Amino acid sequence: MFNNIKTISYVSGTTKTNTFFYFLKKLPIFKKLVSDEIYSFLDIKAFVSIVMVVCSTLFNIFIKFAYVFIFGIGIALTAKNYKSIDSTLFIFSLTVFSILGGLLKGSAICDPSDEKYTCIKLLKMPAKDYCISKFILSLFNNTISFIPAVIVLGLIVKLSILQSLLLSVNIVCAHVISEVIHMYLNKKFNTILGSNVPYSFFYIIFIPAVFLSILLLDRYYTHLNIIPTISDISTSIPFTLIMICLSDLCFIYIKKYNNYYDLIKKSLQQDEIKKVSIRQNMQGSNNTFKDVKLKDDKDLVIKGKNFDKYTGYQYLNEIFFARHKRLLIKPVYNAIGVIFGVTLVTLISYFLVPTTTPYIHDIMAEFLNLFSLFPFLIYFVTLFSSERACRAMFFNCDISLLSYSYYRKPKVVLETFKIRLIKIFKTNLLLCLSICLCYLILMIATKNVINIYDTGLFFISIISLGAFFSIYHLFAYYIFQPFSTELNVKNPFYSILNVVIYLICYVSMQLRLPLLGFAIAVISISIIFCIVALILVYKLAPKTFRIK
Amino acid sequence: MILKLENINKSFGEKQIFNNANFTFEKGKIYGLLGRNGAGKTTLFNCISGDLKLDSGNIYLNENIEDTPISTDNIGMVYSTPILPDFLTGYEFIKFYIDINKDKVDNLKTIDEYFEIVKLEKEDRHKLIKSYSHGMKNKLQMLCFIISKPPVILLDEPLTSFDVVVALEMKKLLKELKHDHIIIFSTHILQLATDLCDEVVILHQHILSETNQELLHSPEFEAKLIDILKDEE
Repeated sequence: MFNNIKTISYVSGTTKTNTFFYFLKKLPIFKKLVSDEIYSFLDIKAFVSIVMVVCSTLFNIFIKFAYVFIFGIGIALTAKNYKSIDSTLFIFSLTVFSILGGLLKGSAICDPSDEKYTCIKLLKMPAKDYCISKFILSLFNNTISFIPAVIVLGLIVKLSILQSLLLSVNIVCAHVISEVIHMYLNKKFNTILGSNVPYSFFYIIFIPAVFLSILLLDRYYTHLNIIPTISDISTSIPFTLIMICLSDLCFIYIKKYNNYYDLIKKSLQQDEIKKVSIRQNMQGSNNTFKDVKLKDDKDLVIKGKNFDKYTGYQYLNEIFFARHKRLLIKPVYNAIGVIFGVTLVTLISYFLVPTTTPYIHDIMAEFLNLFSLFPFLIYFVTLFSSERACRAMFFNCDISLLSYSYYRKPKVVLETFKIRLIKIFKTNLLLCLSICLCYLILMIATKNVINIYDTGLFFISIISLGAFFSIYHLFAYYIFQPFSTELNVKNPFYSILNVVIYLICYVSMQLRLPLLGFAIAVISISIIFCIVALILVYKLAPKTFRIK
Repeated sequence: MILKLENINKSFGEKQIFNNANFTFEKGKIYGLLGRNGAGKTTLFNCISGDLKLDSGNIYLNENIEDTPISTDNIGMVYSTPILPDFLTGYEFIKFYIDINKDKVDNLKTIDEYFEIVKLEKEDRHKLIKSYSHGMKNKLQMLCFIISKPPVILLDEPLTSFDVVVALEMKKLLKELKHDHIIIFSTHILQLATDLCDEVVILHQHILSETNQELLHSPEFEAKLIDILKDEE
């Protein structure tokens, strides 16, 4: 076992070291200092490799500290509207995000990785040996990172060391149990959950949804003491004992299980495909682009549109959006349908169910105070029309056309940017206008007083958000062009920026700020961002929008 | 019309690819570029097409009397695996291509007439390129040259994965095209080079050299060529 762990660490260390030297050589200062021979200095490499493994372990600990800080303290803080943070909320938040979330999260055994491909396919390591060693490494990493993070940050919220210890042990146990859950589900559904797009969506929505619903329940049924009870249970000794027993059973299962190769076969195949350059395998399957593939039978025929009136790049993009209607536009239409549906149901119950009438009247009177929910809502819906659109543009169009010089000419890059921006904005505008229209209908129907200034501010903010998310994704795509021909996301800034935007939207949803301040902030940020983004695109995109 | 490489130098880090290489390609000929793996055939194409910058030296295109630095507009490039936008049908792609090259095209034909030239079947013209076979995609790329007629056509290891029928069609097409163009293609397949090329250029030891014309069709060609390429630095 120890030898296997050593081999995996060696492979991972060497890969990291070589990647490090490769990128070091790309930096202007080191370009001349570091020669190609560096790869042959085995002593230096062994040393750097150890440094790399130590650094990545430390980085992992740092990430867990940041994670516990954001999910334990940050989100719990926003949930309480900046009132004092207590240990109950800290425990509750980590229970939902890390224990419940940990049970469903990724799996070291099942999820695909380059390292797994190298060890099992290329180095012919037995699948069972690899999986068990990988599992032990992941358990070790979780133990040395979660336990200190929860204990240290627990001190801030005045959590006793025993409680912190119990909570962190439960988190580590949840990750162990998660492995077996993944093994079972992967076998049952013959898929890899860790890289399954619908599952990831489910995970991203399900966990915050549970968190929010319990918060809401707790607010309305205070006497039930829901959150304190959950917190007490998840830091109680019996619960921890149960978790440890379950983990022990999982250990035994993992140790006794024999069919690892069949279990992970699929993740190896996917990686195998990923490793084949896109130039040789244009139909290559990759998770980043799995949801933007066209289907011959569904997407070929474009109904009711005549493209003959368009020429050149306009023609190209008109067809692009028409043929991607199912993937990009329909989800937005569905969201609009839901908005009108909710409006209709509200109207029906307002007029036909007298008991709901006063509630609905009150909600509508206070509706504008719910404005902080909208950035997240619009962010979420425009993921289809804007973010997915950019991935579709790359996968189905730009990856091939960017190989040709005519498509890379600055004039053409800016022209296609403009055409695409207008197309995306039109779709998003439809969503924004629908929200505004439904608001007006409901206000008039429920005979509420319409304050023209507030309503105007609300409308402008909603449309600004639509504009912001239209430009944001396209801007990030044109400036960072984060995808490589191997279909990976190469640019870390792109991923970081996306996480930041997601967090800002999520946190702002929790803040429940009053309309005036928040709306003005949204409008000014949107306008400033749009101007800056457009200038940057016009200045930089002709250089940055390239195949990498 | 000639394409002139003048004292070109290119290296990646310490690995030198071209060292003061010179060569002149002429219109009306098909050149086969031969070299061992890693000799720099694709690099040469990328330098000519402007995708890679030379360390020093010049590449000129002389269409009449004057040497002018080559521009990307003068180049048509075919990759070993054709790269085309999946979401369009063949017909739509050609319409788009004609649109953006309208000012360069004289004697414009209808789209269907163009398809006739490369013998792309009627029922395939309105299918998504995504579903096209390798050969069909290559025909589309060839069609682009027939439409926009770039002076220089570079083919990076083409014809390697074609079936015999399509390979023959492509060979015929290239031979028809050569009168108005400078065509250079890189290949590993000797037979293809001897079949199709008017001249074989060898990229070896960082320079380009022409092989003896008579040798090209002689039975000893293969043995001689291997001798040259085996000759280590």
